[in-house]
Amino acid sequence: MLIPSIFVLVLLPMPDPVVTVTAEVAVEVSRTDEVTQQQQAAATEAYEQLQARMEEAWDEYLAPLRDAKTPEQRDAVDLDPAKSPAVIFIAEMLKFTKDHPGTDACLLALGEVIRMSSRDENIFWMTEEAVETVLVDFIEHDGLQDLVRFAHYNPPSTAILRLLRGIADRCESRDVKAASLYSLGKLLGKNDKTRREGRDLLNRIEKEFADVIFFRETTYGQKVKGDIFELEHLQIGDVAPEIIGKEIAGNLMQLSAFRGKVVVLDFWGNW
Amino acid sequence: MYPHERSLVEKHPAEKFAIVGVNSDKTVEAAKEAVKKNKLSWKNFYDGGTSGAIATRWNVNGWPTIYVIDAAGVIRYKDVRGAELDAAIETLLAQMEEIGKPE
Repeated sequence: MLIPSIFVLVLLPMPDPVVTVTAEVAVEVSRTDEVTQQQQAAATEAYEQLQARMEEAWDEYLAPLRDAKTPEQRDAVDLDPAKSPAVIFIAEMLKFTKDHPGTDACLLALGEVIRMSSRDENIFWMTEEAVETVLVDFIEHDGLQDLVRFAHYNPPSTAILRLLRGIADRCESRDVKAASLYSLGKLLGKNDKTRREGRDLLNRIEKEFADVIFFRETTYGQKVKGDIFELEHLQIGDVAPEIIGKEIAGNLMQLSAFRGKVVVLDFWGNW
Repeated sequence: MYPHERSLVEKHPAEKFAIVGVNSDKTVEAAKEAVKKNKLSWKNFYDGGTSGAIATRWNVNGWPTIYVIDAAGVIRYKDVRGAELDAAIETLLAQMEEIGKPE
């Protein structure tokens, strides 16, 4: 228990918002440039093996859930968090990053470590370390955008938030900056206490990064429109916005006609 | 999902409870077919695909997405499922009774 708290103490006093590129960063970046193709290939191969082992472990761990046939059976499944593959593989992944520093696979492994970051105090220091390595060794890496683009689908752990803030502050690439600010804004928007900050970030994206591509043909400008509306009008406690449309049979229908009843509004599709 | 929803509609009186669907199938024929096949007795908006006007406005990126709205039209729960959904409905119905009681 002592070791983790020391790590946390050392890492916490981070220079927060504005961080200029320091000489240290420049040195680290040039170090990653020195990775040879052979080292890259060896790291990729080792990473794929590690990934395969991890997937197998998850498969086995989650088998009771998969085998449950009814919702009741699913509810009755009691998975032991102490036996979660995350506990073992977060450490293995972190070790991998030390064995293969600066490689593309190293960044992927760091991403896995951060994604597995739970609120478990015992492994908190590992995720902190992974975040730090991304910010120092990989701030100019091409793979950074993929790491942050869908980060908002993760639970808003301290590690994820710090990673996104760090990248948004330090990264020079507009695409990566937009992606990290977007994920950060979405995650902050999920929490009552940070919702306003989340909305401010999404508004900033609309002003500064509207033309940046989010995914395929969708731009961040298109993406944040709905997100901002959601933060402003679709929160618990908001009056549900009116829906006027045609029902499947073709008749006109409006949501407000159901006032006076408890309504389950269900967006569904049969695919 | 469908059997659970059917059970909700059967369990609660129609003057106090309703499911309102927003269907995002590609064609209205597919939507009609799905309603028939799954024996859905409640009303559904047809939204004309996953990027339909309603789903876009409500910022829906995953299906199903569920909102539970109280009798006053206020959003009270988001994305509750199974037992949580049952409890949410029970809570809101009970609140309705409470408000409806004469002084």
